Amino acid sequence: MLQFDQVSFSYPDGPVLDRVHFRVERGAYEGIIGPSGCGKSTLMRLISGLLQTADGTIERGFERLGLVCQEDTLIDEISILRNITYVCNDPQTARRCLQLVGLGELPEKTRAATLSKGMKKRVEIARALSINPDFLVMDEPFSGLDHVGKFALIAQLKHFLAAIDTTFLYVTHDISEALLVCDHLTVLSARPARVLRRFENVQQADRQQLKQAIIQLLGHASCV
Amino acid sequence: MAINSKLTAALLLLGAWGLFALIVPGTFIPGPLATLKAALTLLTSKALLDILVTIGRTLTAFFISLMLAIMIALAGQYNTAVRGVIRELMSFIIRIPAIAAVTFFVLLFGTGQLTIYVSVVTMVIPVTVLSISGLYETINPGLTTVNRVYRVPFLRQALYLYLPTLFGAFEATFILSYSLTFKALIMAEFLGGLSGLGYGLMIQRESLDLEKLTAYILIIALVGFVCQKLLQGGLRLWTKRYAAI
Repeated sequence: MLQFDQVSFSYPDGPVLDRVHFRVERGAYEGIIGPSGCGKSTLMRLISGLLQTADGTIERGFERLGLVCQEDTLIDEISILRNITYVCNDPQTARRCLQLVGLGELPEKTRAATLSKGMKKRVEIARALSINPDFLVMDEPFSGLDHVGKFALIAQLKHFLAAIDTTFLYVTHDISEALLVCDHLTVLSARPARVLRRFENVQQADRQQLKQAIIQLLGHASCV
Repeated sequence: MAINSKLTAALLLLGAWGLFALIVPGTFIPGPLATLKAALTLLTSKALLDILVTIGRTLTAFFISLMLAIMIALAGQYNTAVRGVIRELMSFIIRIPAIAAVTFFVLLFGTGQLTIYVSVVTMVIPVTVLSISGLYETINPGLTTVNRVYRVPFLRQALYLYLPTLFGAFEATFILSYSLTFKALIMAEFLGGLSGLGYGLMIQRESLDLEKLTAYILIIALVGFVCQKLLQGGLRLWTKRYAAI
């Protein structure tokens, strides 16, 4: 589905990724964890094809990529329904996706600007789901949300994902978030990011032990 | 009782004009009534055709300029080198005095439609391109990512992203481009035309018929104002229908 093979990437001010190697199987719920500023967003841009690299190879075995970014990417001036039809061009699908993320009761002409941060993220998730993605990437989607709002959304995320047949990649610096949704985790080092270790079937593992192992790998507790 | 500020301003202007015409001999500045009389006479003769010709040309030249400017500004968004060349080229053209450009095109194409259109489009495009290019920089960069990842067609981007987001600023650019089109067009008709309000103004100036000359100036100002209001209203309606909520 997605394979990074010895991928390195540099900006003019220095290297960001250093021979990063990982593979995401079809249907997997995969997590990538690394400290803030390690190059996770660059990784996401490489996955989505917004950046190209000549150093290493990236195999993209998906057709429809859904994306939920860290920053707010709704068009504030138009309605929530239009924000979704903006990418899928089908009002019926847009309405169904709004229902799915729990915004079905909201008037569809509500302007995006009037929504709370949490609701905006829900609309962004609905927008990503509306194209029926076979690969869905979320890059620190809930940063900036309050603790309760964040974990309420994460708890519902698996329910949203179960509604579509997709492969899921969750990029975050927060171990607790990743452990709630992901089945496998790849841990990246500080910049330039290298793969430190991969953990399989984390849902079956002891969470406290896993957290300690990741903290030890990263050398500090900033990711918890 | 609420005072209509536009009506008050118009009445004040008319009053000042009437007063000025009373003080200065009528042979130099015709008063409002004499001008209105001359305007009515003109409207029943040749001026009506001139008005229609000028309105037609204004709308045509404006839409050609706007479309070309949007395309040029867009071309600059996809490549930094192209953007640099476009910016330098537009910044150079914008400095050429309009009268020099019209004279140049009269020499090149002679008097007539072609000179008028080429002159107007050449003068309007740089201002519009530079204004539109400035608008793009205010768009949330995250939305550019969304456009690329989801491969959003350009028409949808224009209707749902650019127009609603930039409407206020775009409306200002739209009015600026229109007013420049109208001014440039009257001058091009004056210097290189064989019909239209600008050409009519030139004929009245040659014959030194001050009442008709002032009437032409008044008609030009009114036609310019009405056309702008119509276009502005049309843009708002269109945006509301196709772009807004």
